[in-house]
Amino acid sequence: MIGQATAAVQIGAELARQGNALPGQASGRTGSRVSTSDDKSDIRQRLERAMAAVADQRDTAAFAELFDFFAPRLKAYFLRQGEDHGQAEELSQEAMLTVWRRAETFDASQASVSTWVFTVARNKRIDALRKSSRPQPDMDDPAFAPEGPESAEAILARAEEEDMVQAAIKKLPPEQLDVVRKAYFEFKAHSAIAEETTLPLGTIKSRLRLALVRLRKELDEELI
Amino acid sequence: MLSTQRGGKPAAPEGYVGSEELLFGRAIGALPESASLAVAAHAELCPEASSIVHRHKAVAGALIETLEPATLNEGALDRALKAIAGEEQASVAPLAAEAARDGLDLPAVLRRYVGPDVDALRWKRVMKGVREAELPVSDGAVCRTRLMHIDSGRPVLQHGHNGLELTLLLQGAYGDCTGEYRRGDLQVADEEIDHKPVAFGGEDCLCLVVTDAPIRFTGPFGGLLNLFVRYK
Repeated sequence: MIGQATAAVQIGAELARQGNALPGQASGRTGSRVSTSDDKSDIRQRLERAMAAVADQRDTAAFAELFDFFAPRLKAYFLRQGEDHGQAEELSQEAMLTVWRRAETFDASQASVSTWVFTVARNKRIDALRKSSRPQPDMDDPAFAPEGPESAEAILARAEEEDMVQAAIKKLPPEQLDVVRKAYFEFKAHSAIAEETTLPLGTIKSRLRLALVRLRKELDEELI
Repeated sequence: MLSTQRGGKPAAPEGYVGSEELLFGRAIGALPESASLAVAAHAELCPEASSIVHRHKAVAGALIETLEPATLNEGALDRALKAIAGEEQASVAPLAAEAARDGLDLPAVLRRYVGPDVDALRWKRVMKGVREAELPVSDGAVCRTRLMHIDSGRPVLQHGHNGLELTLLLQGAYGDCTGEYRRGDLQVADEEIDHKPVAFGGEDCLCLVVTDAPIRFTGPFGGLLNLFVRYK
């Protein structure tokens, strides 16, 4: 069931599941792996420079560049999450303001700009979902907690891993890309914010399992 | 495959990281607060789990770049620029958390819910040697989230599950028919698991437990207990 080391198969669930997909581990090195800085895409370097300019110089032109790239994509993300146009517009605005305010917490050695911005956007939506039902409004939601410490190897391999993931996704044919995007962005654990209800945990877990299984199955069938 | 704990395993396998779909759910923001807390606290204690969450987030980040840009309202950028004009960067210094007074090494994400002293929570006795304290979460109407303290050597009554039960072990060790669990392990028990966890190793057990349905007692007096113990 576990796919061979095809770059594309390593994305998504497979990537996350297979310890040996971690670059930097001797046994996991294969010819298919994409190396680091040399082929880091232009766009990624541009985004990193813009983030640095926002963090260090409060550069509004650099912020505008980030906005032009991310705001329309974040709106698309929120729409896929089931928000209406108005709410998706508001959430993308708020997410971009958070990008401005929290720029200096971005660490290029820990995540790509896109991964960091995704986390900001994801948290915005969770925040909006829970605002109304929080027992203690000032409580820090676990969504905002950083992930825990990893092994030293995993941390060292982080930048490489991000490059590898990006390269693998770029290579996906449109149909598979669509499958992966659906699994990551269109999972419905809640209805729209306006009528938020939470499903039983068991149901959410079953649906997540199903999304992962479907993801793997489709990728395997198409690619092996 | 990383799996939920299901019947007959002698011990939690090495590198066991709980349930993969929950890590995926945490990464994409699909978990309610209760489960998100348990999984985040688990990831703080388990580097492998943390790596898996990170990797799913990296995929999501790369996917954001591939989305067809949606059309923004006219003047969206100007609106944002106006909002940030003259705004200083927010101070990112973390709020100085009150130092823990209970000597427990809890995951930071959980500590924010517990406060500086676990003994200051409202503990209720559940059965002999077992007590619990409820933690407030936004999905409290669906899931119960609580700390559970089990005295060393004390068995929790045999029970099955009507729904899902996530147990993150924070201190001590316990075992049941599915294996042995130590600090940082996350046990995921569903309808198919009927167990009688027993704390062992001389240290009391402290767990974070999230359940979305009442458990049912299945031991010799289970039927009777189910009548008058309301226990989720």
